[in-house]
Amino acid sequence: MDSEISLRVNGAPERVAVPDRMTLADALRDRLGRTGTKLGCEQGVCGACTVLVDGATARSCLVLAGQAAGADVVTVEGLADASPAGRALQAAFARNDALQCGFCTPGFLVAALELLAEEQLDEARVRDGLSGNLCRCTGYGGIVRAVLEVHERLGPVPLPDIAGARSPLAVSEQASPVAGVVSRSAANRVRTGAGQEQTEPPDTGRPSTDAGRRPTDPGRALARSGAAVAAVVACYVAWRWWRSRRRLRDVPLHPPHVLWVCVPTVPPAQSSIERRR
Amino acid sequence: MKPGPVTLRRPASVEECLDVLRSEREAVVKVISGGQSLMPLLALRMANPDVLVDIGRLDELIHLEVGPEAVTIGARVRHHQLTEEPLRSLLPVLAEAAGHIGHTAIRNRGTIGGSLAHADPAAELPAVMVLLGAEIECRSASAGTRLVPAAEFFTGPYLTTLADDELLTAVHVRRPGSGTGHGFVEFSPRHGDYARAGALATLSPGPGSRIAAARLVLFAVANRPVDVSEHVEVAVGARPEECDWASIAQAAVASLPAPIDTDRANRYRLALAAARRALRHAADRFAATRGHHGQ
Repeated sequence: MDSEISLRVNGAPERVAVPDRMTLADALRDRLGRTGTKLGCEQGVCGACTVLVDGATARSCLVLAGQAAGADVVTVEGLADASPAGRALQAAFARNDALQCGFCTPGFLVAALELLAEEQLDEARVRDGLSGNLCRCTGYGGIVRAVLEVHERLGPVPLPDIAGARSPLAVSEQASPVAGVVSRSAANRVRTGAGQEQTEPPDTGRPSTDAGRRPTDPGRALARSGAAVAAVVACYVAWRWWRSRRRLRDVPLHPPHVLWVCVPTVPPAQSSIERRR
Repeated sequence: MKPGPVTLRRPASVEECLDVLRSEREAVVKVISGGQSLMPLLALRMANPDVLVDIGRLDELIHLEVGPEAVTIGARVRHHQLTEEPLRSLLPVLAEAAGHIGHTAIRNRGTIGGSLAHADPAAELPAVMVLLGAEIECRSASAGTRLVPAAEFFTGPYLTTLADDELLTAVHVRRPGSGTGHGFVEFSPRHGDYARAGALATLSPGPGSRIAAARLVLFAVANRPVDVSEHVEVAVGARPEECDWASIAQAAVASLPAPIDTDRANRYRLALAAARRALRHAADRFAATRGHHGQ
């Protein structure tokens, strides 16, 4: 069964029809074009699909799209606008070689952003806080360094509190406890809810930022793929030319001799390329 | 790895939810709260319900009531809220156990009611409820509200006494007396993973800094949490430093049914270590609290 849901994604109100069984991750990627969110295991283990739902991290593969109706969702595309630490975190990841293939990076960035709200951060806490995200390339060293670097530079950066998601639980007095464990008079209980029901996505006053860079823009995609093909062809031609020259002149497998002129202190016999053969 | 076809219902109030549960009695219905246990089962097609009833709009189930004797926790209180104030100081053993559930993003979504109704034998919260002697509040349109002691609520792996049209709405937990020491130990293959074995203990002080009540619960070693408190009763009336916790833990684990396979036997070995450590932690905290009050 399909149902129409409205939610806010990276500040932009969206209205989309989704099947009841569709997860938020699939809705974000396939229906709303936010393919920055990655899907790894689809069972809540790898953390690649982590997004912010109402200001708190959530696995978007473990939330049904229908459950996210009325929610404020921030994906990696909107990270830089969601928090002042977003851009700094992305830059620190690049600087610290905190990514190789980059598949896990969107999840790490979102999880790290929540971690940066904490007052005290050390390596152990960062490793613990990011333990729900798996990276198979980097060995985590660069990721931990990047998060600590941003925390050192900016201090704790709280996330915008949306819909009271991070506010502490309100306490009310328990009415007339009777013998045994509990109050059995449920009727005269005073209840305090944390957060009011929301049918419309909350207006956080942020402009829509990523509406212009949807991956479904056909002209741009064609131009980009054309450039990529031209680059690959150019590289291949250059390589063939260099190989043919080498064979003709019987040059051993190391860079052209002009380099030895530039670096006269390194004799050709001891160059690293020569030793490797 | 996608959930099978399902109809999602999103009632706006508890009454509407109970009506939905009653009207859908013919279909296979699952209530979904945070979904952090149910969604993987749906994705793996281990659960194939016809109807999912999402209680995510029932904000009336997010409440905490504190009385002099007991604490009432609404079913939709999330795991991360269990680990934070005010529950952290009210029920420290619950806070410590909830901190071992999954990872941050899981604890942000998962709810106490969802964990209890799911009744995973390796889950922490059912064991805490058995340890604390909690009562679980179930409501239905046909039978109204009933309270089930946690020891009777869990009947097997993923099985509870919840009827098809019933909704778990709250848990009522007795507050531990001042000076009560607690211990929580679990062994899992990876941080945040399901427990291979775990143990929970509480020691309550009586007159003369002697143990007035002692409780021990093991989890992830059987098809539901196992209350082995009768084997800790030898410690009642003694001072914690006089007790031989290793032999008490040994007796408690020995009382479990004979292991049916090597997996279960390995779990028992881990449970033995967990029980011993949990009892020692409880004894240390018991002593620490008593010393603090004595100054």
